[in-house]
Amino acid sequence: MQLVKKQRILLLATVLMILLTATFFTWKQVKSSTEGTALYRFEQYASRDVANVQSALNFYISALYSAQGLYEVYPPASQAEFSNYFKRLIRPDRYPGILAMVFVEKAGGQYVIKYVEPLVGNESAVGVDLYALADRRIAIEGARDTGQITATPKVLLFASGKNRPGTVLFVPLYKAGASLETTEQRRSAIIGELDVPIVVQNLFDHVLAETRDQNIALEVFDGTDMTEDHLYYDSDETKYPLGAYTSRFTLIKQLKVADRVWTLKFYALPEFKLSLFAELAPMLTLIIGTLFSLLIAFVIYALTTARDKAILIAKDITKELESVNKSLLSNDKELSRKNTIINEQLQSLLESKKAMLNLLQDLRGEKEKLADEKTKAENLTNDLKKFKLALDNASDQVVITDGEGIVVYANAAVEKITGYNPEEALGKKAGVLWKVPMPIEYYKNLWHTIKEQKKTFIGEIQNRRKNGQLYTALISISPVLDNSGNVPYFVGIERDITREKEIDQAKSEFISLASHQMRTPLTAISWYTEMLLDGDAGKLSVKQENYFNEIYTAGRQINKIIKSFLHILRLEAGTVSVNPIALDVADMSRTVVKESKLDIEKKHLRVTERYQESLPTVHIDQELVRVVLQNLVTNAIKYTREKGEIGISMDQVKRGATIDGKTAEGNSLVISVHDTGIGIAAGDRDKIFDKFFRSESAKLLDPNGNGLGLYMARKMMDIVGGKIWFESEEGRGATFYVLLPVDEKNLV
Amino acid sequence: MPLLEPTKKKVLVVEDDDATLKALRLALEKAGLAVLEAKNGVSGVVVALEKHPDLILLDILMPMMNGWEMLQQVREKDDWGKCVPVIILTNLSADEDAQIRHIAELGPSFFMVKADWKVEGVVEKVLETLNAEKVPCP
Repeated sequence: MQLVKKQRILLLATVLMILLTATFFTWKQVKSSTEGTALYRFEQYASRDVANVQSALNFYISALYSAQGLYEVYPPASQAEFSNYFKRLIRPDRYPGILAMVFVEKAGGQYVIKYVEPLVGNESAVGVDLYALADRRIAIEGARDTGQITATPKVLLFASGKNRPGTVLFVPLYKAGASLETTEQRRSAIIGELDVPIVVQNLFDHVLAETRDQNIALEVFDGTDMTEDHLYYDSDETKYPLGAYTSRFTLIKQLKVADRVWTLKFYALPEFKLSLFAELAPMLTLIIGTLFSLLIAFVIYALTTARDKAILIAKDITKELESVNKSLLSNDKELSRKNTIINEQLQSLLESKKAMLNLLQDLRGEKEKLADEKTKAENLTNDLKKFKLALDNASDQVVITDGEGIVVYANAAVEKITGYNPEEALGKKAGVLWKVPMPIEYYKNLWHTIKEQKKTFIGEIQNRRKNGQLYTALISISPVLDNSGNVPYFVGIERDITREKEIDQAKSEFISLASHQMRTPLTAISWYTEMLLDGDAGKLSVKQENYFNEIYTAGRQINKIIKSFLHILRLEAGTVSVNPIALDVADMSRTVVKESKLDIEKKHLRVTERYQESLPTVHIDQELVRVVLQNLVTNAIKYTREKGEIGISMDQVKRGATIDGKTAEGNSLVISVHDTGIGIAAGDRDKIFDKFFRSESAKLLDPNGNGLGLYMARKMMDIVGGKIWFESEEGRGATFYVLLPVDEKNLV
Repeated sequence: MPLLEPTKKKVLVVEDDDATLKALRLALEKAGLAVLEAKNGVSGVVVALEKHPDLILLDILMPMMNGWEMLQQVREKDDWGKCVPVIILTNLSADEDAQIRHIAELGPSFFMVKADWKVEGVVEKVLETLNAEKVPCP
């Protein structure tokens, strides 16, 4: 059923109306229910309080009647007795509000206060005539005449530093045993009265604790007049003074107090509520109800419209579907025919695809290979470019020759150094352009090293530049070996060291000159000191002689130093003369040790010498050996601490024997000098034989050493074809080894 | 120049350093020798040829003319000069210095490095040479 718009709106309106009405009624219901509950609760509390107050008052009254009875049977005879009685009987914690107990005695026409409990603070009351006070008198008379407890109207009682509203109860006391049937009888039997002041506030505060928590307030009035004058008690006087607030719930009750009536007015404060939910329930109901109604209305609306839309759409779709169906049926036949054709074609396509994939795979493989090759080639080209660049820019000359020494490559530095450009050098025998003839042995040695030994040859050579200038070069020629051990190429590197040589030469010349020049004044010092010591200038005192001896010794020392400088220069220049003689090395060693006796004894060193039996004589320069031995022994002494040990030994070794890793190439003599001294640090090992090198620890022990001893020793070993090396552990000591060749053919 | 006593042997000291010269003079005179002095090669030649000393103590490094050149001249110019005994007294080392490598050719009797010898030693060598048997010289 399709709904017209108008109908839809009507439906909507109706639904909404119904729902809203329902909401309204629900709300009303909830509201009154809530109200009812509140009222009920209020009345509950108020009634309870009234009951509590009533019973509290009754309690007091009955206690006072008991007191009355007791009093008549056992009247207290003194203040002390009175105090005792009522201390125990009437206690303020049991009877809140009761200020005191007073005994008023009838004395003629007066009623005078006789006893007071508590007496402390109330002493001034004793003797006061209460009959004189109007409201007291009425109450006194009332009690006397009726025999009942009476109460005054509202009075102000002074308590806790303030005047407080209260009432005074009077309890008539009669002669014991008197008959009290008529008023007359009573009047004549009266002996006095108990006067009981009560602060109403305290009483009510005590009784109403719980009510206050419920936000219910209470006003208590004397009599029926609910005015300020009669107000005994206002539980909420601070916030809501009398008449300030009209509550939605009020309850008025009357209370019997002795012979009077009090009016109690209970009212609910604004804070008086049911639980939050209860209070809000009506409102919530209204809101939720309304919302719900609207929601339902909306849903209905949406549904109806949706439904309508859906129906329309459905109709359209149905029409379309029908037409599609017709055309589909006709196409079906056509399709199945085409389908078969397609299947056949698909098959052949799949086969070609397979073939293509295989081909693609192969191609990819090839491509990768090519890429690899290309990268390799590129890397190679880059490397080559780099190398070529490096070579071209190198400051050293690089010449590559074939196996016969014909130049195939020369770098740019060739021109810089020799003056001939690379083109001029190509195709010619290496070095021929700029060579200066060297002794034939030199070339023999060179070829032997590189071609037969297939090792690198390093040496110095003299050459001539294109402009005729001579220069010194350091050459290094290396053979390039292929896999089968043949030498297809030689690589020669040449460096122009003319400048270095010149500098070296200048240095040596300078040292030589300086050394010689120093000798002249040194000669003068030595000779004149000598002549002084000879007494040529007069007899010397012992002291003078000593001093001059010191000077002479120092002079000798200088000469020694100069000599060693010159010796080194000679060694370096290769001009040292070597005179080999048949030398008993052991003997020389003993002499050297003897010469150092003083120093050995000064340091309390223990020296052991061990020379192998029947050592061979060595053909060697005596001076050379002496210098080396002196050097090693002096070092051992210098660098060993006091009470250390030094050991010298000599042994012969045969050709091929190994000592400490070094192989003797022929019959040799091995000398070892061992000490327990400071040793040589690992970091200094490579430098120990360097010219002028002194280790830190050596410098500490002997600041004056020149660092030349071991350098010279090694140079000398080079000259005679011997070897010198050492083993050491820092801090533990060192052993120096010298290997001297015995065989004739090793002589220079 | 001091007067010479005919009986004393004459020694010519050719030395440019004053202190050294003086020391030698003192030592030689103490030993009873007469001392002639020259401070360079030029005056050395003159004095030698004029005075014909019995021995020449010759330094090498000197201004104007060094000892080697002087000795050459003395040896050539005079028959006496060919045979006069010469002790080279220098601070150069014989084997290394190019200047004096061929000093040996000129036939010195001895070669001494001043710094290595006491002055007394020098005097002893002088006396030794003077008292040695004369070697016939061409």
